[in-house]
Amino acid sequence: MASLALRKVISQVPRNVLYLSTRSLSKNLVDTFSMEHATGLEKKEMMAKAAGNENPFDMRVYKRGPGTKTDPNIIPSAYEERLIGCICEEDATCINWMWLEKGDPKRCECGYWFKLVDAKPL
Amino acid sequence: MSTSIMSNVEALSTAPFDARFPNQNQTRNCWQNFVDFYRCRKVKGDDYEPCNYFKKVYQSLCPNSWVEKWQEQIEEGKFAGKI
Amino acid sequence: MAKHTHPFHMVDQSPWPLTGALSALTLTMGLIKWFHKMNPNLLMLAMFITLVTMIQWWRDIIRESTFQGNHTSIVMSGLRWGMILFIVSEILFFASFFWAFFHSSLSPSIELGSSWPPSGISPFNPFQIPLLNTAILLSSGVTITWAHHSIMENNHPQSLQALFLTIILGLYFTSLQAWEYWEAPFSIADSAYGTTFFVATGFHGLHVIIGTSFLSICFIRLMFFHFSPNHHFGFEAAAWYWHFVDVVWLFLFISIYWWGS
Repeated sequence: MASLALRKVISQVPRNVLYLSTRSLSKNLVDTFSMEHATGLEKKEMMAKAAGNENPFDMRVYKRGPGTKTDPNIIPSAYEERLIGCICEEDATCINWMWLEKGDPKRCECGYWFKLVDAKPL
Repeated sequence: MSTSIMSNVEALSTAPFDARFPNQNQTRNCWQNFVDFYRCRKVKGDDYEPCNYFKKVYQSLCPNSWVEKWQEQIEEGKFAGKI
Repeated sequence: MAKHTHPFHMVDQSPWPLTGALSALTLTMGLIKWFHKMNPNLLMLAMFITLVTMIQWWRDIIRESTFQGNHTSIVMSGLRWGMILFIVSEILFFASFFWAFFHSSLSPSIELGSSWPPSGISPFNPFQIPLLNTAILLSSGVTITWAHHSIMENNHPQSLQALFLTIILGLYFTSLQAWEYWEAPFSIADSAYGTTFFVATGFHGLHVIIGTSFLSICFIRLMFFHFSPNHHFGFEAAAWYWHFVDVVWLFLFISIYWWGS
């Protein structure tokens, strides 16, 4: 290992040590290298973001719609149920939590309707 | 009458307040006067009377065991203070 | 792995927390046995278990991040916070030794002759080896920044050279410290001066050695192309740690070596 390390360092010296900054990469190229280097869930996240999806894991707060019985707020989930919390008023200091199940639309404590639908997994 | 009372008070007087050592803990006051006594004698000679002021102060402030220990250390040349 | 519905990394079951706890217990007992019986056998065993645990645990993490891609941006943020909190705890660790030093030196006790350095102690000249060590660590801070920028620009040869230089500077520092310890005219048993000096500089030296190993692992990973321009937190953590060790040295140099002499 040590000899490999040393060889690696020494072999590079004549070519590069004498002049600084052999090349300056554009942001684009750097991102491409990083994308090619990544794998797994990390790569899926990067690709989603590159495709313009800034919220690939559905982590952000929803702004509710009308939330009537006929036009409920649609909540996506990859599971059969999802824990949701309502901030009923803008400056409320507590969150009203409830479980929402698939095929069973429900009203929250402040009176709005919610419905769980299938989410597209990343 | 009154002069003999005064001379008795003089004989019984203890170390005066020293603004360098305003705290309850007088360890450093004791130590400083011990060192100053030996420094004074070194500079002025063993018979210089005013040096005995320091001796009087350290004798009233220091535990006797400390004084004995320090004098022993001075004799053996391993006292920590600079004299 | 069928559907990824959250960005978090749910780790698999692992034996390393258990072997780590075991090694910590053995390490404690081994140290006590060494101190009291002069017998280092249990300590050696403990160090071996610790080493094996470290190698395998961190090997698993490299697999999870580089080869399985489990480290999403949120996982990386957690790792960043973890490293920040760890370094903060290290700062507090060193704060305690500086506290001990200033407690002893700002008002030296009568047993020390009421002077600092205490009578009978001849400290090192801060402008010889300690100043050289300061220059070495500051230069290593420059070379590690060079390495970082090379990684961010995908300049593999220069990142290797710069990181190699950083490691060499770290080893140079350690050998100079070892030389100076060897030459020291006072020991850890020589009054509060020796104690605060060797405990503070000794723990710093230990941290330099840990930082050098951390950087060496990064060097090996760099050789095998584990780092991309956008994702190289293992390297960044090592760099943070190295800068921390560097700053601690500056405080040691100014207060203990220079002011304290």
